[in-house]
Amino acid sequence: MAAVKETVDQVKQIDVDQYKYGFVTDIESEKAPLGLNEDVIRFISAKKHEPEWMLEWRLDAYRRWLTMEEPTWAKLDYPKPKFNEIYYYSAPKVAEGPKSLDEVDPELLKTYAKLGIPLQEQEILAGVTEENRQYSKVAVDAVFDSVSVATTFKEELKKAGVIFCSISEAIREHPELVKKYLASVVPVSDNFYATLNSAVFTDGSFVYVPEGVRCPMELSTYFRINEQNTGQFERTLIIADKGSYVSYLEGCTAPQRDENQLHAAVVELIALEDAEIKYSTVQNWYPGDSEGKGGIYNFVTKRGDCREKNAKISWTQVETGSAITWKYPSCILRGDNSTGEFYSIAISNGYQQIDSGTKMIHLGKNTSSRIISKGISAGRSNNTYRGLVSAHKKAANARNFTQCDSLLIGDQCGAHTVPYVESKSASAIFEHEATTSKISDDQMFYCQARGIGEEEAVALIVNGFVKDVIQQLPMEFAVEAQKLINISLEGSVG
Amino acid sequence: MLEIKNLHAEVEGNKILRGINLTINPGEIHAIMGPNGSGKSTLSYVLAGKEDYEITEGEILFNGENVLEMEIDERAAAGLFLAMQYPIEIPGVANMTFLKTALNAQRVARGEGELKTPDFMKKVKELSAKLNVTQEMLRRPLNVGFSGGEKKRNEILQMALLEPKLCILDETDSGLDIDALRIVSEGVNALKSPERSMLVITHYQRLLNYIVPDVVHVMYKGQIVKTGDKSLALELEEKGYAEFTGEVAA
Amino acid sequence: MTTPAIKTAADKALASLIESAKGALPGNESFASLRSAAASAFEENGLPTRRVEEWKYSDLKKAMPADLALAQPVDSALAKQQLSGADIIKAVETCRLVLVNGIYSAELSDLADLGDAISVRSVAEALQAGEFQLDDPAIAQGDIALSLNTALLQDGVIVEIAAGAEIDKPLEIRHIMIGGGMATVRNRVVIGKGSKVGVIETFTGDEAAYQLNTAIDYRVADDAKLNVLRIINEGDNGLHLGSTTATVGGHVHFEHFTLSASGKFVRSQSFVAMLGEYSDADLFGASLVNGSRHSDITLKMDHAVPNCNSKEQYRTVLDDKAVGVFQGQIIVRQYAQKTDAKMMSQALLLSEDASFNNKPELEIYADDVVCGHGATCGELDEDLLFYLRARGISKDLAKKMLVMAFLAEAIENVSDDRFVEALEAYILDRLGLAD
Repeated sequence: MAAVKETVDQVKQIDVDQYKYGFVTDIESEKAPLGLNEDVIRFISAKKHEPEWMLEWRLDAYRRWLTMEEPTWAKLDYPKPKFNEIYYYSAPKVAEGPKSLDEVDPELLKTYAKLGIPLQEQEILAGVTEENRQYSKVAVDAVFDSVSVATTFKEELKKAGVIFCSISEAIREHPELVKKYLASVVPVSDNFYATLNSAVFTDGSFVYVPEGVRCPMELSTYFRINEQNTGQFERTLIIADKGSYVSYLEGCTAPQRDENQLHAAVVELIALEDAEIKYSTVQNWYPGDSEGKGGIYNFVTKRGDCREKNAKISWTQVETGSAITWKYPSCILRGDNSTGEFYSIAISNGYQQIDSGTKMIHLGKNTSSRIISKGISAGRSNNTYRGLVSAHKKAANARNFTQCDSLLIGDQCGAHTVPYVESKSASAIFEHEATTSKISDDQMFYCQARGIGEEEAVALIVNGFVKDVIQQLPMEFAVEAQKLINISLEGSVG
Repeated sequence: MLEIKNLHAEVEGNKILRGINLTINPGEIHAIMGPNGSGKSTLSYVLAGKEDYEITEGEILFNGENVLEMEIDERAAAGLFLAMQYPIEIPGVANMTFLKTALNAQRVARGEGELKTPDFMKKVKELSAKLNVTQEMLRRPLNVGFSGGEKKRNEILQMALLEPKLCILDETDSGLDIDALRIVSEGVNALKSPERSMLVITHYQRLLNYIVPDVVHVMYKGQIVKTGDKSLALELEEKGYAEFTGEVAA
Repeated sequence: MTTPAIKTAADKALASLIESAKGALPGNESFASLRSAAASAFEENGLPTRRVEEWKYSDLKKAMPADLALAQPVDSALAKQQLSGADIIKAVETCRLVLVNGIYSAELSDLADLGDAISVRSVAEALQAGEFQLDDPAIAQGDIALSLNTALLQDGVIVEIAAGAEIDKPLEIRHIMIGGGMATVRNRVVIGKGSKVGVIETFTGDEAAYQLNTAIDYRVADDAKLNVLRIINEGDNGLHLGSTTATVGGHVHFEHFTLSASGKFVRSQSFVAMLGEYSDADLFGASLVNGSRHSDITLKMDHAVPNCNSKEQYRTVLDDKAVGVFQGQIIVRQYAQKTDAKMMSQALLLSEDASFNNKPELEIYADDVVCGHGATCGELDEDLLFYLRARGISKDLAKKMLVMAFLAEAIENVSDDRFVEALEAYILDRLGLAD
């Protein structure tokens, strides 16, 4: 009950359409010329000190992108982004790449402190004593607009053999790994937004966990869009070599602005034999105001490849932000006995539109997957689960269980479920269940009859509704996520 | 009638049966007792031909024929009947349809020709009355919504109708109250004959008060560790399995 | 006449058939303008590619032949001969309306017991008189099969059931295809207020390659009870594009069962609009698909008003290299509070080469609803098979029994015992289980 109490207190403090992370950091920045052409791509590549092959790769992607059209199949209604009115590169003006945290602009450190993201290793260490261990250690890569401003605990990770750095650095320092794995899960011309990302991606994280290593701490990246009219195109690549394990967290926020901003990311995960990757996201981009003005367009391609046998990839997402969300974290279950999981909470309020879900592609024998999706729609929002489960001919004994539940709060919103279940393997067993309902009057009455207020009762019931997914999140994130869920639903009752 | 020689069986690499030797002559009633996990049910499934088990060694002869080379339904037609511990529910197949299909399939396999519907109905009615199987139970889908007792009575009804040569009763007493146990036992006893043998698998001695065995075997870790007459069952009841397995009961 | 959308041989064949058939098709001027609008819509879009969401799993461009001609009228002696072979519901006595190659034949129909409460008229005749209006429910609008149906419509029957009538004998609308070619039919059944009636639609054909585009429109007035049984028993080379539209009034009980049993390529689609409160609609179906057949069941259930219930339950059995498709969509509009809608689609795959595509969809805009769907697919349960075989039943027979049992669970939803009997008889016969 403590969490509920906290939730209610928090909800009370906040005005209806107040977005906690809506402030702007006043910092001088350096931008690419407005719009997109080959020169802008050359500019980005030069800024990143990239080798020639990378520039060619980008230009190739750009040329392909010019021939592509925006997808329209999702249940989303929005004016098309004007791709020539966006800055594709924006970076805080600092002396070339800070060598250590001491060199990071204090304004930036303040920003992250305000966002609750610890970048000071000392602080984190100081706060932890063996007797009173509140937070476990988390290594953070902080991406501010187009560049990574800091990555913590690099040294400690290095001792374990784990590479955790910005993708820009990886391209320079570990080209053999990047060349081998980049675009090996999401091909350059996979889809309109992935191709755009391939041409203009600016930063993001790179993780390589060597054979047999269990990554000693949680890794995380914190994405922040600050600058006006700026798109963020991050690229993340995580490789878990044979028998390794890594848990990775991602969080995102942006200032409150009247115009829509574009975020088009690509995340690729590769799990080799017996390896496991756990990827958690709390997405809290600015959702727009109560009139539906502003907010982030979030077009994300996330895909994991269980490339060898016994590999496991698990996606957990809490989606509360963004005006438009188009996102389907997927698993390719190529290796025999590999496992894919997708746990999702998607909450839409105001005028938000979410079209999200997953794909579980069963290619190998004895592969199994599990999908738990909880959608909550309130206000005038629309929330769609779209998912594909498929078994190819050779996927003998493939198993999938899918549970999609939607909750509607109010009669101005929509909740939709669009599953595709395709089986070409007789021995595959797929089960799919979905329900749509509102918070039952009986449940509300019961809570209220026990003296629980209306708003608190909703919070209580919603917390119960999403519990299966919250449990999948790492501890620190779970608490954050729970608070976030309740704030997102603020003002939805009555 | 039945000869099991040095039978070894495993499932997914786990050895369950480790050299079973057992001979049952016509007209005899044998009981196999043993703690949970001793392999009793596995033996019954292996006899009936369930495909999950791999026979790694040994042979089973039924009236001189090699059972391991026979299909599941061929074994049934040859007169081998397994009354299952957990009779399965089959929605959509009416009990009556099932009984008729099974009986006629066996008769045809034995070259006896199908039974005419009126004759079949007469037979089912007679037998079901004795076993307290109602008309409604015959109309309902096979075992669907049946209570534990109803399922077991329905197993015995099938046994009575199919007139097998060897009846294997796998934990038939589990989940039965005293009245149901009596009805089921009476049904079984009515089938006793000099040509028909029975193998009664049970955890408790209770059932053997009703179905009196000629021979009692104690099974442990996939082997028969002791064989005796019916007094062995009473001895077991008194002393527990530990006496025979060399382990102390938990 | 060749637009960018008219690309494949099938597109071209259809476009030229539409063009050449123009003069020969019935209808007054105003209907002719509807036809030409449908024809231009076709020219603009062609047959749907697999990128068109509704046709994602059924490739009409591939299924339609490269040469097309209208089916020829059939000599009535020959038709009579075929008629008895087309009786696939012997168990049920019916009043019978017969359409041969898409043309209504009063001569072959058996209307002896029709009574005063039912009137029958040919669509071709009504079209000529300008007395046949097309107004599909909103949810069916823009559908390509219906649009093609308008462009090429030849004939059909208009059946009106008087208010309050209780029709004892079900009415059978029997479609027979003989000698190949394309036929286009649209029927309409108007169910008067408070009446009770059973309708059976049957579809049979010979071995020739043919294409039947058939549509039926049910208009169900308040308080009525309508039971429909639809048996698709097309020939091995037959292509069946069937559409059912239904507009349902208040306090209605509407029950609809589709059995997709044969035909090379079958698409059976339903569009049901719930327009009156306190009504129930139950859409059930079973599909038996083998060989290299393709069977697609697509349905859209539109809950536009409050307080209605709908159930959608379908079962599909796939063998050999068959392909099965189920696409079901439940839409609950903003004002349709207190809707209770449940959809379930289950498939059984008997062969390694068979495949099934399942897409049960919910689109919900009202909050006080209870909606759900489920989908499963898998193979026969080994434990069930073991139990049957342990009682002496051969593997082959045991499999058939389990297939029958799987389908029986779909059939047991049907409330009219005569329909149940007809369905069971048909499937038992098909599986070789009949006595």
